[in-house]
Amino acid sequence: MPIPAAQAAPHGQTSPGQPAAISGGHILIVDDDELVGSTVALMLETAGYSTRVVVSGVEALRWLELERYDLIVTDLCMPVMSGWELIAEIRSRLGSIPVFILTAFVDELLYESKGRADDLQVDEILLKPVRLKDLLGRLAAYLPPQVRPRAGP
Amino acid sequence: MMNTAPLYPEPGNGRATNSLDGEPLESTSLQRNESSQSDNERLGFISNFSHELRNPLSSIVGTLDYLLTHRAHEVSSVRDLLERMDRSARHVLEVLNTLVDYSRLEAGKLALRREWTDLNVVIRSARDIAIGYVEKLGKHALTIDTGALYDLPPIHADETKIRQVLINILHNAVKFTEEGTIHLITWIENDHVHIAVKDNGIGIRTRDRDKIFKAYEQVNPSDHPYGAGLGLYISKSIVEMHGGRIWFESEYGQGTTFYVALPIHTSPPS
Repeated sequence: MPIPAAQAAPHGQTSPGQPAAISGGHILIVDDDELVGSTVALMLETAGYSTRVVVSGVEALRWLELERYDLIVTDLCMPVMSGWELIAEIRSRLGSIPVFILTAFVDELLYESKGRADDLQVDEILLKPVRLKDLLGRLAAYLPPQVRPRAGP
Repeated sequence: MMNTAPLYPEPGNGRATNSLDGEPLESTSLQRNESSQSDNERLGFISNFSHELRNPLSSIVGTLDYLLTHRAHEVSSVRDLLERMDRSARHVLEVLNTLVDYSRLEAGKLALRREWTDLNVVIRSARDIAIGYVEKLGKHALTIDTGALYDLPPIHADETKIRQVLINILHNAVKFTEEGTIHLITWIENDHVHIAVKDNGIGIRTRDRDKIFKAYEQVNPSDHPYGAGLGLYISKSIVEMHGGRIWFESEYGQGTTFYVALPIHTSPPS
Protein backbone atom coordinates (compact mmCIF):
# COMPACT_ATOMS: atom_id res chain seq x y z
CA MET A 1 0.00 0.00 0.00
CA PRO A 2 1.49 3.35 -0.94
CA ILE A 3 1.88 5.72 1.96
CA PRO A 4 2.39 9.18 0.57
CA ALA A 5 4.28 11.62 2.70
CA ALA A 6 1.98 14.43 3.67
CA GLN A 7 4.75 16.98 3.61
CA ALA A 8 5.81 16.11 0.06
CA ALA A 9 2.32 16.15 -1.31
CA PRO A 10 1.40 19.12 -3.46
CA HIS A 11 -0.58 21.71 -1.68
CA GLY A 12 -4.27 21.56 -2.43
CA GLN A 13 -5.22 24.99 -1.29
CA THR A 14 -6.36 27.28 -4.02
CA SER A 15 -6.44 30.96 -4.38
CA PRO A 16 -9.16 32.76 -6.28
CA GLY A 17 -6.85 33.69 -9.15
CA GLN A 18 -5.94 30.13 -10.08
CA PRO A 19 -7.29 28.65 -13.30
CA ALA A 20 -9.92 25.91 -13.30
CA ALA A 21 -8.47 22.40 -13.29
CA ILE A 22 -9.82 19.26 -14.89
CA SER A 23 -13.19 17.99 -13.72
CA GLY A 24 -13.64 14.97 -11.47
CA GLY A 25 -12.85 14.55 -7.82
CA HIS A 26 -16.16 13.46 -6.33
CA ILE A 27 -15.81 12.48 -2.67
CA LEU A 28 -18.18 10.59 -0.38
CA ILE A 29 -18.04 11.71 3.26
CA VAL A 30 -19.49 9.44 5.95
CA ASP A 31 -19.89 10.74 9.50
CA ASP A 32 -22.75 10.16 11.92
CA ASP A 33 -22.31 13.73 13.14
CA GLU A 34 -23.80 15.71 10.28
CA LEU A 35 -22.05 18.87 11.43
CA VAL A 36 -18.66 17.19 11.19
CA GLY A 37 -19.44 15.68 7.79
CA SER A 38 -20.65 18.95 6.33
CA THR A 39 -17.61 20.76 7.73
CA VAL A 40 -15.33 18.30 5.93
CA ALA A 41 -17.37 18.99 2.79
CA LEU A 42 -16.78 22.74 3.24
CA MET A 43 -13.06 22.12 3.58
CA LEU A 44 -12.91 19.95 0.46
CA GLU A 45 -14.91 22.53 -1.45
CA THR A 46 -11.97 24.89 -0.94
CA ALA A 47 -9.95 22.79 -3.37
CA GLY A 48 -12.88 22.39 -5.71
CA TYR A 49 -13.76 18.79 -4.95
CA SER A 50 -17.43 17.94 -5.11
CA THR A 51 -18.90 16.04 -2.18
CA ARG A 52 -21.76 13.95 -0.89
CA VAL A 53 -22.29 13.90 2.88
CA VAL A 54 -24.08 10.95 4.50
CA VAL A 55 -24.64 10.12 8.17
CA SER A 56 -24.50 6.32 8.20
CA GLY A 57 -22.82 3.35 6.59
CA VAL A 58 -26.16 2.14 5.31
CA GLU A 59 -26.79 5.45 3.57
CA ALA A 60 -23.24 5.40 2.18
CA LEU A 61 -23.81 2.01 0.58
CA ARG A 62 -27.04 3.27 -0.94
CA TRP A 63 -25.28 6.27 -2.51
CA LEU A 64 -22.41 4.11 -3.72
CA GLU A 65 -24.91 2.33 -5.94
CA LEU A 66 -26.22 5.60 -7.34
CA GLU A 67 -23.08 7.66 -7.88
CA ARG A 68 -19.46 7.16 -8.82
CA TYR A 69 -16.92 8.45 -6.31
CA ASP A 70 -13.19 8.97 -6.63
CA LEU A 71 -12.50 8.71 -2.92
CA ILE A 72 -14.27 7.97 0.36
CA VAL A 73 -13.67 9.65 3.72
CA THR A 74 -15.28 7.81 6.63
CA ASP A 75 -15.59 8.10 10.37
CA LEU A 76 -15.05 4.90 12.39
CA CYS A 77 -17.28 5.27 15.39
CA MET A 78 -20.85 5.17 14.15
CA PRO A 79 -23.89 3.37 15.50
CA VAL A 80 -25.34 0.31 13.73
CA MET A 81 -22.60 0.00 11.09
CA SER A 82 -19.09 0.98 12.13
CA GLY A 83 -16.59 2.54 9.74
CA TRP A 84 -14.66 -0.74 9.68
CA GLU A 85 -17.74 -2.65 8.60
CA LEU A 86 -18.43 -0.05 5.94
CA ILE A 87 -14.87 -0.22 4.59
CA ALA A 88 -15.01 -4.02 4.42
CA GLU A 89 -18.22 -3.70 2.43
CA ILE A 90 -16.70 -1.05 0.16
CA ARG A 91 -13.67 -3.26 -0.51
CA SER A 92 -15.86 -6.19 -1.48
CA ARG A 93 -18.04 -4.05 -3.75
CA LEU A 94 -15.65 -1.52 -5.23
CA GLY A 95 -12.20 -3.00 -4.87
CA SER A 96 -9.39 -0.51 -4.61
CA ILE A 97 -11.07 2.93 -4.39
CA PRO A 98 -9.02 5.21 -2.08
CA VAL A 99 -10.45 5.21 1.44
CA PHE A 100 -9.49 7.68 4.17
CA ILE A 101 -10.42 7.21 7.80
CA LEU A 102 -11.15 10.41 9.70
CA THR A 103 -11.53 9.48 13.35
CA ALA A 104 -11.70 11.17 16.73
CA PHE A 105 -10.51 8.02 18.39
CA VAL A 106 -6.87 8.20 19.39
CA ASP A 107 -7.03 4.67 20.75
CA GLU A 108 -7.82 3.39 17.30
CA LEU A 109 -4.50 4.62 16.08
CA LEU A 110 -2.67 3.38 19.12
CA TYR A 111 -3.64 -0.17 19.57
CA GLU A 112 -5.59 -1.81 16.89
CA SER A 113 -6.16 0.21 13.81
CA LYS A 114 -2.89 -0.32 11.98
CA GLY A 115 -3.33 -4.03 11.42
CA ARG A 116 -6.98 -3.65 10.68
CA ALA A 117 -6.39 -0.70 8.35
CA ASP A 118 -3.69 -2.66 6.52
CA ASP A 119 -5.98 -5.65 6.13
CA LEU A 120 -8.66 -3.41 4.64
CA GLN A 121 -6.12 -1.46 2.56
CA VAL A 122 -7.09 1.84 4.12
CA ASP A 123 -5.08 4.54 2.37
CA GLU A 124 -4.85 7.21 5.06
CA ILE A 125 -5.84 7.65 8.69
CA LEU A 126 -6.45 11.21 9.85
CA LEU A 127 -7.15 12.31 13.38
CA LYS A 128 -9.89 14.80 14.20
CA PRO A 129 -9.69 17.73 14.28
CA VAL A 130 -7.91 17.75 10.93
CA ARG A 131 -6.52 21.00 9.61
CA LEU A 132 -7.34 22.09 6.11
CA LYS A 133 -3.79 21.96 4.80
CA ASP A 134 -3.24 18.44 6.16
CA LEU A 135 -6.49 17.18 4.72
CA LEU A 136 -5.88 18.70 1.30
CA GLY A 137 -2.22 17.70 1.40
CA ARG A 138 -3.06 14.05 1.91
CA LEU A 139 -5.86 14.17 -0.66
CA ALA A 140 -3.71 15.73 -3.34
CA ALA A 141 -1.61 12.57 -3.49
CA TYR A 142 -4.69 10.67 -4.65
CA LEU A 143 -6.77 13.25 -6.46
CA PRO A 144 -5.52 16.40 -8.15
CA PRO A 145 -7.08 19.49 -6.55
CA GLN A 146 -10.08 20.60 -8.54
CA VAL A 147 -10.16 24.32 -8.76
CA ARG A 148 -13.59 25.54 -9.53
CA PRO A 149 -14.14 28.46 -11.86
CA ARG A 150 -14.84 31.61 -9.94
CA ALA A 151 -18.53 32.12 -9.50
CA GLY A 152 -19.95 35.58 -10.03
CA PRO A 153 -18.11 38.87 -10.38
CA MET B 1 0.08 0.32 40.67
CA MET B 2 0.26 3.63 38.92
CA ASN B 3 0.26 3.57 35.19
CA THR B 4 3.17 5.67 34.04
CA ALA B 5 1.68 6.13 30.59
CA PRO B 6 1.03 9.73 29.63
CA LEU B 7 -2.45 10.97 30.36
CA TYR B 8 -3.08 11.62 26.71
CA PRO B 9 -1.27 8.94 24.77
CA GLU B 10 -0.55 9.97 21.25
CA PRO B 11 -0.91 7.80 18.19
CA GLY B 12 2.32 6.21 17.07
CA ASN B 13 1.64 4.02 14.09
CA GLY B 14 3.95 6.04 11.89
CA ARG B 15 1.26 7.35 9.62
CA ALA B 16 -0.82 9.47 11.87
CA THR B 17 0.09 13.03 12.52
CA ASN B 18 -1.20 15.23 15.22
CA SER B 19 -3.41 17.19 12.96
CA LEU B 20 -3.45 20.38 14.98
CA ASP B 21 0.21 21.10 14.37
CA GLY B 22 0.92 18.67 11.56
CA GLU B 23 4.01 17.27 13.29
CA PRO B 24 4.59 13.54 13.04
CA LEU B 25 4.13 11.92 16.42
CA GLU B 26 6.74 9.98 18.32
CA SER B 27 6.02 6.37 19.07
CA THR B 28 4.95 5.81 22.62
CA SER B 29 5.65 2.55 24.32
CA LEU B 30 2.50 1.93 26.22
CA GLN B 31 2.61 -1.29 28.11
CA ARG B 32 -1.05 -1.97 28.11
CA ASN B 33 -0.95 -5.49 29.47
CA GLU B 34 0.76 -4.35 32.64
CA SER B 35 -1.96 -1.86 33.46
CA SER B 36 -4.48 -2.89 36.02
CA GLN B 37 -8.13 -3.12 35.09
CA SER B 38 -8.92 0.23 36.67
CA ASP B 39 -6.07 1.91 34.80
CA ASN B 40 -7.48 0.53 31.58
CA GLU B 41 -10.90 1.74 32.56
CA ARG B 42 -9.53 5.18 33.29
CA LEU B 43 -7.63 5.26 30.03
CA GLY B 44 -10.75 4.19 28.16
CA PHE B 45 -12.69 6.87 29.98
CA ILE B 46 -10.18 9.56 29.02
CA SER B 47 -10.11 8.32 25.43
CA ASN B 48 -13.88 8.48 25.32
CA PHE B 49 -13.85 12.06 26.53
CA SER B 50 -11.13 12.91 24.08
CA HIS B 51 -13.27 11.39 21.34
CA GLU B 52 -16.34 13.31 22.47
CA LEU B 53 -14.40 16.59 22.38
CA ARG B 54 -12.60 15.99 19.10
CA ASN B 55 -15.83 15.81 17.10
CA PRO B 56 -17.22 19.25 17.89
CA LEU B 57 -13.69 20.62 17.87
CA SER B 58 -13.23 19.35 14.33
CA SER B 59 -16.30 21.31 13.22
CA ILE B 60 -14.92 24.44 14.83
CA VAL B 61 -11.39 24.04 13.47
CA GLY B 62 -12.59 23.04 9.99
CA THR B 63 -14.98 25.96 9.75
CA LEU B 64 -12.29 28.34 10.99
CA ASP B 65 -9.84 27.05 8.38
CA TYR B 66 -12.47 27.50 5.73
CA LEU B 67 -13.05 31.09 6.80
CA LEU B 68 -9.32 31.78 7.02
CA THR B 69 -8.70 30.68 3.43
CA HIS B 70 -11.34 32.97 2.05
CA ARG B 71 -11.50 36.70 1.78
CA ALA B 72 -14.48 38.24 3.51
CA HIS B 73 -16.38 39.02 0.32
CA GLU B 74 -15.99 35.45 -0.96
CA VAL B 75 -17.98 33.92 1.88
CA SER B 76 -21.69 34.23 1.32
CA SER B 77 -22.92 32.56 4.49
CA VAL B 78 -20.78 33.89 7.31
CA ARG B 79 -23.71 33.79 9.71
CA ASP B 80 -24.33 30.07 9.01
CA LEU B 81 -20.67 29.31 9.53
CA LEU B 82 -20.61 31.20 12.82
CA GLU B 83 -23.73 29.35 13.97
CA ARG B 84 -22.04 26.03 13.17
CA MET B 85 -19.13 27.00 15.37
CA ASP B 86 -21.49 28.22 18.08
CA ARG B 87 -23.34 24.88 18.14
CA SER B 88 -20.07 23.00 18.27
CA ALA B 89 -18.71 25.20 21.04
CA ARG B 90 -21.87 24.50 23.07
CA HIS B 91 -21.33 20.82 22.50
CA VAL B 92 -17.77 21.09 23.85
CA LEU B 93 -19.16 22.82 26.92
CA GLU B 94 -21.76 20.08 27.45
CA VAL B 95 -19.08 17.41 27.35
CA LEU B 96 -16.99 19.34 29.85
CA ASN B 97 -19.99 19.83 32.15
CA THR B 98 -20.59 16.09 32.13
CA LEU B 99 -17.00 15.53 33.13
CA VAL B 100 -17.30 18.04 35.97
CA ASP B 101 -20.58 16.48 37.17
CA TYR B 102 -18.97 13.09 37.12
CA SER B 103 -15.97 14.15 39.16
CA ARG B 104 -18.22 15.93 41.67
CA LEU B 105 -20.38 12.85 41.92
CA GLU B 106 -17.37 10.64 42.56
CA ALA B 107 -16.20 13.02 45.28
CA GLY B 108 -19.69 13.06 46.81
CA LYS B 109 -19.94 16.76 46.08
CA LEU B 110 -22.61 16.92 43.44
CA ALA B 111 -25.12 19.33 44.94
CA LEU B 112 -28.69 19.99 43.87
CA ARG B 113 -30.02 23.51 43.54
CA ARG B 114 -33.67 22.87 44.15
CA GLU B 115 -36.40 25.33 43.41
CA TRP B 116 -40.04 25.09 42.40
CA THR B 117 -39.87 23.82 38.87
CA ASP B 118 -42.45 23.70 36.12
CA LEU B 119 -41.81 20.26 34.69
CA ASN B 120 -43.97 20.99 31.66
CA VAL B 121 -41.49 23.66 30.60
CA VAL B 122 -38.51 21.41 31.35
CA ILE B 123 -39.97 18.57 29.30
CA ARG B 124 -40.72 20.82 26.35
CA SER B 125 -37.23 22.28 26.29
CA ALA B 126 -35.65 18.81 26.56
CA ARG B 127 -37.85 17.68 23.69
CA ASP B 128 -36.79 20.66 21.56
CA ILE B 129 -33.13 19.91 22.18
CA ALA B 130 -33.70 16.26 21.27
CA ILE B 131 -35.44 17.31 18.06
CA GLY B 132 -32.36 19.37 17.26
CA TYR B 133 -30.29 16.25 17.84
CA VAL B 134 -32.45 14.24 15.44
CA GLU B 135 -31.82 16.92 12.81
CA LYS B 136 -28.11 16.97 13.57
CA LEU B 137 -27.90 13.22 12.99
CA GLY B 138 -29.88 13.62 9.79
CA LYS B 139 -32.47 11.03 10.82
CA HIS B 140 -35.25 12.26 8.57
CA ALA B 141 -37.55 9.30 9.26
CA LEU B 142 -37.45 9.69 13.04
CA THR B 143 -39.91 11.85 14.96
CA ILE B 144 -40.44 12.68 18.62
CA ASP B 145 -44.07 12.62 19.68
CA THR B 146 -45.16 14.42 22.84
CA GLY B 147 -48.85 14.09 22.11
CA ALA B 148 -49.79 12.57 25.46
CA LEU B 149 -48.34 15.15 27.84
CA TYR B 150 -50.18 15.45 31.13
CA ASP B 151 -50.33 18.86 32.79
CA LEU B 152 -47.86 18.25 35.59
CA PRO B 153 -47.77 20.06 38.94
CA PRO B 154 -44.63 21.91 39.99
CA ILE B 155 -42.05 19.87 41.89
CA HIS B 156 -39.18 20.97 44.06
CA ALA B 157 -36.20 20.03 41.97
CA ASP B 158 -32.96 21.08 40.34
CA GLU B 159 -34.34 22.21 37.02
CA THR B 160 -31.05 22.10 35.09
CA LYS B 161 -30.21 18.62 36.28
CA ILE B 162 -33.66 17.18 35.63
CA ARG B 163 -33.52 18.64 32.14
CA GLN B 164 -30.12 17.03 31.72
CA VAL B 165 -31.58 13.64 32.71
CA LEU B 166 -34.42 13.97 30.21
CA ILE B 167 -32.11 15.12 27.44
CA ASN B 168 -29.85 12.19 28.16
CA ILE B 169 -32.66 9.65 27.94
CA LEU B 170 -34.05 11.26 24.80
CA HIS B 171 -30.61 11.42 23.17
CA ASN B 172 -30.06 7.74 23.84
CA ALA B 173 -33.41 6.96 22.25
CA VAL B 174 -32.45 9.07 19.22
CA LYS B 175 -28.98 7.51 18.95
CA PHE B 176 -30.26 3.97 18.91
CA THR B 177 -33.41 4.39 16.82
CA GLU B 178 -33.03 4.76 13.07
CA GLU B 179 -36.62 5.51 12.13
CA GLY B 180 -40.08 5.58 13.59
CA THR B 181 -41.39 7.53 16.56
CA ILE B 182 -40.05 8.22 20.01
CA HIS B 183 -42.96 8.74 22.37
CA LEU B 184 -42.61 11.00 25.37
CA ILE B 185 -45.43 10.31 27.83
CA THR B 186 -46.16 11.73 31.28
CA TRP B 187 -48.64 10.82 34.00
CA ILE B 188 -49.15 10.90 37.76
CA GLU B 189 -49.28 7.77 39.87
CA ASN B 190 -48.78 7.21 43.62
CA ASP B 191 -47.81 10.82 44.29
CA HIS B 192 -45.09 10.61 41.70
CA VAL B 193 -44.71 12.33 38.37
CA HIS B 194 -43.89 9.70 35.77
CA ILE B 195 -42.08 10.41 32.55
CA ALA B 196 -41.60 7.68 29.96
CA VAL B 197 -39.53 7.77 26.79
CA LYS B 198 -40.46 4.90 24.52
CA ASP B 199 -38.55 4.10 21.35
CA ASN B 200 -38.78 1.41 18.70
CA GLY B 201 -35.02 1.22 18.28
CA ILE B 202 -32.55 -1.61 18.56
CA GLY B 203 -33.30 -2.44 22.20
CA ILE B 204 -30.98 -3.80 24.87
CA ARG B 205 -29.75 -7.39 25.00
CA THR B 206 -30.52 -9.28 28.20
CA ARG B 207 -26.84 -9.79 28.90
CA ASP B 208 -26.24 -6.01 28.72
CA ARG B 209 -28.97 -4.99 31.16
CA ASP B 210 -26.75 -4.81 34.20
CA LYS B 211 -24.35 -2.45 32.44
CA ILE B 212 -26.85 0.24 31.58
CA PHE B 213 -26.50 2.41 34.68
CA LYS B 214 -22.82 1.74 35.31
CA ALA B 215 -20.08 4.31 34.79
CA TYR B 216 -17.78 3.71 31.79
CA GLU B 217 -19.96 0.91 30.48
CA GLN B 218 -21.18 1.12 26.95
CA VAL B 219 -23.73 -1.04 25.26
CA ASN B 220 -23.39 -0.60 21.59
CA PRO B 221 -24.53 -2.45 18.51
CA SER B 222 -21.43 -1.60 16.55
CA ASP B 223 -18.00 -2.48 17.82
CA HIS B 224 -16.95 0.96 18.99
CA PRO B 225 -17.63 3.08 22.02
CA TYR B 226 -20.18 5.78 21.49
CA GLY B 227 -20.29 8.65 23.91
CA ALA B 228 -18.46 8.85 27.18
CA GLY B 229 -20.49 6.14 28.89
CA LEU B 230 -21.48 8.34 31.79
CA GLY B 231 -24.86 9.76 30.86
CA LEU B 232 -27.12 7.21 32.49
CA TYR B 233 -24.82 6.74 35.45
CA ILE B 234 -25.05 10.45 36.22
CA SER B 235 -28.78 10.50 35.41
CA LYS B 236 -29.49 7.70 37.88
CA SER B 237 -27.60 9.54 40.63
CA ILE B 238 -29.47 12.77 39.93
CA VAL B 239 -32.88 11.10 39.98
CA GLU B 240 -32.09 9.24 43.21
CA MET B 241 -30.83 12.43 44.85
CA HIS B 242 -34.32 13.79 44.15
CA GLY B 243 -35.85 10.80 45.94
CA GLY B 244 -36.97 9.38 42.61
CA ARG B 245 -36.40 6.27 40.57
CA ILE B 246 -35.19 5.53 37.04
CA TRP B 247 -35.57 2.20 35.25
CA PHE B 248 -36.17 0.70 31.85
CA GLU B 249 -37.90 -2.06 29.98
CA SER B 250 -36.48 -3.35 26.76
CA GLU B 251 -36.80 -6.08 24.23
CA TYR B 252 -33.87 -6.58 21.91
CA GLY B 253 -34.79 -5.66 18.37
CA GLN B 254 -38.10 -4.13 19.48
CA GLY B 255 -37.23 -1.04 21.45
CA THR B 256 -36.64 0.40 24.88
CA THR B 257 -38.70 2.45 27.32
CA PHE B 258 -37.00 4.48 30.03
CA TYR B 259 -39.03 5.62 33.01
CA VAL B 260 -38.36 8.38 35.50
CA ALA B 261 -40.54 8.78 38.60
CA LEU B 262 -40.12 11.87 40.77
CA PRO B 263 -41.99 12.48 44.05
CA ILE B 264 -44.44 15.37 43.88
CA HIS B 265 -44.60 16.12 47.58
CA THR B 266 -41.02 16.85 48.35
CA SER B 267 -40.80 19.78 50.68
CA PRO B 268 -37.77 22.04 50.57
CA PRO B 269 -35.08 20.76 52.94
CA SER B 270 -35.17 22.78 56.15
